[in-house]
Amino acid sequence: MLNFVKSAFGGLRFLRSEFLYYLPLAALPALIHLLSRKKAVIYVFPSIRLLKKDALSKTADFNLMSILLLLIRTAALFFLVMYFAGPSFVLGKKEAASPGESAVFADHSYSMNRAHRGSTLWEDACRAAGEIVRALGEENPSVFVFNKGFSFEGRGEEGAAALFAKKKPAAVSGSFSEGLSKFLEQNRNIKRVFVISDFSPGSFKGETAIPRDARLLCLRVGETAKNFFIRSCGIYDRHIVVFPSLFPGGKAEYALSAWSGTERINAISASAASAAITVPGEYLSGRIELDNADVLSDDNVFFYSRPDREKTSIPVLRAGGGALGRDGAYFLRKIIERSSLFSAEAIADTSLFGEKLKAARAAVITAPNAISSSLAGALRVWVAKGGLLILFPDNDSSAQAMNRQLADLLPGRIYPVKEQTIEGGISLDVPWAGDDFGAEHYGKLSVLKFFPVRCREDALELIKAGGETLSSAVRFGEGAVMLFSLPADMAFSNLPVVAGFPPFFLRSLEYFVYERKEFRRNYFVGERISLPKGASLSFGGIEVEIKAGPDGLGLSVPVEDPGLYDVSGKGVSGRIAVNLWRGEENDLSVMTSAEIKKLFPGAEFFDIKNPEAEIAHILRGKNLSDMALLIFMMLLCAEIALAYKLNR
Amino acid sequence: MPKTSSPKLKSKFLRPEIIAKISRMNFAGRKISEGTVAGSHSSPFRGCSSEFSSFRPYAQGDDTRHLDWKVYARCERFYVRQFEQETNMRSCLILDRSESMNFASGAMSKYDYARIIASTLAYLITKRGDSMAFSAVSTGVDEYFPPGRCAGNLVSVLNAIASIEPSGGTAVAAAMDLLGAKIKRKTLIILISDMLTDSDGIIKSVRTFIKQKHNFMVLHVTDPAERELPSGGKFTFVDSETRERVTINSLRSAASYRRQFSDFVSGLENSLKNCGSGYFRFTVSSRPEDEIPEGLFKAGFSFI
Repeated sequence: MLNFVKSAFGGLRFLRSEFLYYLPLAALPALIHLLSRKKAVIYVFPSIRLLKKDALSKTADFNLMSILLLLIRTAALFFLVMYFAGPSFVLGKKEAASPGESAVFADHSYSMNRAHRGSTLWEDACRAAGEIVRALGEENPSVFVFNKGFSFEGRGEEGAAALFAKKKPAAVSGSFSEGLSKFLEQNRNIKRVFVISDFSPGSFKGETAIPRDARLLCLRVGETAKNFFIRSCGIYDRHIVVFPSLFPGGKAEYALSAWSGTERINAISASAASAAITVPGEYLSGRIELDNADVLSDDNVFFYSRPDREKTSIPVLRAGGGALGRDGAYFLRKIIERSSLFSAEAIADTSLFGEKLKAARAAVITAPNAISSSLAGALRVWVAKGGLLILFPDNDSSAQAMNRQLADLLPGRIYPVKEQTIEGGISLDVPWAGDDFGAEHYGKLSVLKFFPVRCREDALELIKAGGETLSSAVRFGEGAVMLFSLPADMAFSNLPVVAGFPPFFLRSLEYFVYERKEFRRNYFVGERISLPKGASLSFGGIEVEIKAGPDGLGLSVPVEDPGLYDVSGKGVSGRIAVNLWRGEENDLSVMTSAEIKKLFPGAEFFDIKNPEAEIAHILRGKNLSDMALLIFMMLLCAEIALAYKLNR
Repeated sequence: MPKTSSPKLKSKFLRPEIIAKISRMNFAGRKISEGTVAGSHSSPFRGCSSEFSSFRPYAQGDDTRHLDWKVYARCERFYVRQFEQETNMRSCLILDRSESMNFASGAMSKYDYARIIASTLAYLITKRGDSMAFSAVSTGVDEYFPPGRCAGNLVSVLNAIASIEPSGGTAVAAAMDLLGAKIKRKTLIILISDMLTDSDGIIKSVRTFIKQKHNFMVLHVTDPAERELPSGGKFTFVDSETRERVTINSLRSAASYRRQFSDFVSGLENSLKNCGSGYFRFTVSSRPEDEIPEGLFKAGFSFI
């Protein structure tokens, strides 16, 4: 008997077995019946003579009918759940050969890397692809992987084996829908396509055009998961600011730790939208780990690399005589010394300033009247060799003298002081400052008077207020000159204490003194690393083959693995950090079957939890869903008829 | 000699507004009353009465031979002389006082409604000078007042109607058999009941009375809630008399019950009419002053 049951029902599987959790719903009618049972209301009546016969016969009839109705409702709900669960019965016969070829596409994007029921989604996808290949047998389907694009892995067993040999997914998805449309258009012989993916929204955009005679089967592995990850990081000279995803709910407790190899440098706990962890300057590269284990632990790591920068002294020329009061040099020294990379040296003596200038990479002049002809000449030579000169006029400055002494150095012609009240200002698109400065940083700027500047055509306007240029810059030889229209003290304006000015000033110094001479050290997976000629790159002790860059001057190589890469060569040494792209791949929500069917019109959709058991059912199983739906409809009709009869 | 005082009227069921409407009403029996003298009712016995009874105002239709011209000469109003044997219609009011009569879906119970009808009829009969007996019945004859036509008799009957409360079961047929032994002469018997009893037995009794040349009138009192079962689902109906219980779903039995009640009422009416009895059905309402006079008129009481 048992053998008979096994042979009869052993092949029964459910394509969407999660719907079986709704089976208890079938007990709902009985539950409602029990809960809604009311105690009869006592009603004193003149005589029950006329009720007796009628009531007795009706009650018995009613009980029988209501039990029948209850059974019908229970059975109807049972078959409805069965319809959604997709019962499938595998028959012994083999899958009928397709009239054309078949192709299997496995998603190899980063989101497939997440753990799910003891394995990663990528492993599930490989197993599913293997099962498909096995089930199709001699048809030898073509096996592809897709992320940013398609990659042919082989045919049949060979293709399936190639999937298992691939590295774990790290790339970002491209627009698969569009690519598949083109592929099917170009390969008309392919009549059956299997897409194995987690169907996260980032991978699929736009509708896929499927030829009428082609059959598309969407096989989903995994399910929606909540993910916690490092969204982005900001690397500064002494600390790294981490922006976690704070998912879900926008709030979370988390711990950050900074590592250099196996050495833990620092650890903090935080709960805010961002947290800064201090990493001493001597640790040039390493990783930040976010302690919040979830389904995708790889994205809780951020690799960083910083250049080795020597501290630089910035000479500041101030007006001679008098104590160092709150003049321009005072404010600038305070700003400069906020950075661990710079120190300020206020100098009143012109000749001493000239001496200091030789070793400096940047210099600031807050008293242009002190510039002699010889110093002007020295400044020209120094800037042409790569120095950054920052000029601030002061109360005693003569526009005429500045124009005469530094005509070729200045970004424009400077005019005598103009008294005009200006409130607020904006920071223009400064190449080295990125998007860090906006109008809000200069919102509280208040100007009483200034030296108007008419910029040269090749000059760059940096800060503007009331239509006037407050700061401008121009290249001179290898170096650059920045001119402010306002003194660096509080005589004409409150510029030194406006929120945007100190960071802008330091950022400018950092860029011109260090950054523009350094190679880029932080990349994302999928980007090409550019290096100067003669440099070599290795990852985990294995040298990475690099080729001539697109411009023919440098070298470049696309990177696929996150981590720290070693760079060596003439003039370049250090490490390059490669991180996973923190884009939509970290969004581990998945599309609903309706959304998937919208993207793939006419496609069949299946959830794969156990590829070994389910693929055979998808390809060879007899789907009993339609039968379950038919029975449900019949029971529904019977229920309506019986309920009508009872309530009539 | 000590002066005997007549009993005081305590009935609240004799409604002035109804009296005002029915004061000119007389019962037109379909059979000839068996009186001993000529009067307002036709009699099989011929002859004149000589025993003066009372005066009453002349009404249209009165025999002008009975006008008292001396009284007219004194007060210029027509009065008719009444004689002892003229009031020769005997009546017997039978009021069903069983527990089922106590049912009320509204403000007024069937029994109160029946009491108003009985009080009104008692007044009407006595006012016309006819003699009237009264009996309250349930499982037997609970109260019996022998025929009388004086005002004192009326007051006693009205007080009895007001004071007797409903109780007990119903065996109207048995009670009527008992009453049959007391009613010797031809009498108009008026039964006021909800008829929720052995209707076959009643019909048998009625047939017997009719055979004995009595007139019979059934005034059937029903409540609107008796026609329809209460809506709302499951009810345990308790019989007001036997305390028997039956549980049914009113939603499912409503139509069947409605049909059965209708069959019962129409069957009763047909049976009674077939055996020569009068029948009229009253439905308890909140406006008895309008409906009772009209009902009595339809039942056969007519304005003279």
